[in-house]
Amino acid sequence: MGSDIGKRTIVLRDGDCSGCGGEWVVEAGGELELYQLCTSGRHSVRILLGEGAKAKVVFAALSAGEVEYDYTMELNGEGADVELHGLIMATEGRKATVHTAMRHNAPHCHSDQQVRGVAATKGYGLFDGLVYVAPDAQKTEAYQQSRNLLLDGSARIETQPQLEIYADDVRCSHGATVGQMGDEQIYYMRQRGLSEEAARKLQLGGFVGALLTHIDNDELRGEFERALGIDE
Amino acid sequence: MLKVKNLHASVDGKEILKGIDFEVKAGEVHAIMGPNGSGKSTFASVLAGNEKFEVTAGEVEYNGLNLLEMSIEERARQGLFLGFQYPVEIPGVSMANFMKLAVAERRKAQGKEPLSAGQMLKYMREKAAIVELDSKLMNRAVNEGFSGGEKKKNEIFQMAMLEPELALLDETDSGLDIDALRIVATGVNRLRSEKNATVLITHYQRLLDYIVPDFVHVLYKGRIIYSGGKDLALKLEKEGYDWLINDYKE
Repeated sequence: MGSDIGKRTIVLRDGDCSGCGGEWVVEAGGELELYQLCTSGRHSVRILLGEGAKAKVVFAALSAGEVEYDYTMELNGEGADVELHGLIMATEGRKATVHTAMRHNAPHCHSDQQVRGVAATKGYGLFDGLVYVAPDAQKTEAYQQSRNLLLDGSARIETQPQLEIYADDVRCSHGATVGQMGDEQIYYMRQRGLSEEAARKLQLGGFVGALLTHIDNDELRGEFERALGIDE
Repeated sequence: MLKVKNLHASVDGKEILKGIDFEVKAGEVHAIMGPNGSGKSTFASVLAGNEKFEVTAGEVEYNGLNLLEMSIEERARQGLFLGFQYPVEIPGVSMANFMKLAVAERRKAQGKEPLSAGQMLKYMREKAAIVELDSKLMNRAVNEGFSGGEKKKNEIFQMAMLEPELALLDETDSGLDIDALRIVATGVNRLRSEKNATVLITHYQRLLDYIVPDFVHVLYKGRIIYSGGKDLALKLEKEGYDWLINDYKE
């Protein structure tokens, strides 16, 4: 639990948050950055935003065991702003799940969710993302994008965007894509001398690495890199 | 350098190449022409090792090696380069990272020391200048958001980076305006030497105004049915393929 004015950074990792989560209140004009990097267990995070408050969430849900994240954002004050950048990575034979609920309860709020999913052999990734816009939350802007990559034919990803919009003057969009690691791209890289393994690693690193551009702190970015296996 | 004997290849059980004989020596430029669907791109793909195609008969010797037993990447590392007709976009993979890995593999095969980061940057700038490719593109993902002309220049740039012995350029001229064509051709000409060879696969004579071949071959229905000097391309441009095809019996 916490309440703050000014800028605050929270990092949730394995170890200091077994089955962790919590609720944070960002008061009017305040800012919160929340980074989460956990590999097992169920984690629930709730952020309540006041007028003009901002929250930035960057997460990687990596399934060393089974992992599940549950995010709820309550945009309660006018002009609140949430950006959420995430990666769901279902490793071999494991399941990784992320739920988001972006609840626009006040007018003139803005939210953007960019979630990528990767599933390895027999891995299973699930993303369900709700965007809720209350009847008086006019002039809402809410965006959601889910991009997914299957590493082979036995991998599975489900993505379930949901929009519940009760106001009429809003701008909302959502989109989802699921692609498989491209044979043509692997062929192209091999024709330039890369082994198949190096080509796959490069392509995966590119897809996954997009998340890192949203982490300004070098140390923290390094920690994410190592966890994602793309540090070199 | 390259000796192809009686090469047959199929895709999904359908035979596309029906007995190709073809030889290239160091220092030579060959052009392979022919109507659509005659097997030109398939021939280049089979030489590069594209696994979509099945080689059903024949032999290919490349610098004394049995090419058909080599993996795609091994062929590339040994200096066989394919300039793609449709270069793919690879989101998330930067040109600079991609070239760093590719050049390292090629140099290892050549027995050369790896380049330092600084040397690599300089080398990349030098080679990009050959085809007037904006070196800012090196920070972008491979071919992503490149114009048609930039994609083709990028193929020749990569060729310059990798210093191939045998370059197969598949329809490198298609979709280029005259300025881009001139730049691409100038690049190819600058890379010509006594030690390497180039095979141009093309529909049109116009590329051959800029890159003058030593030999021109006509591929039709999976076989090379006619070979000649550079004048053959001019004759084909003027008279088409009918005079050859009408004489040809399968």
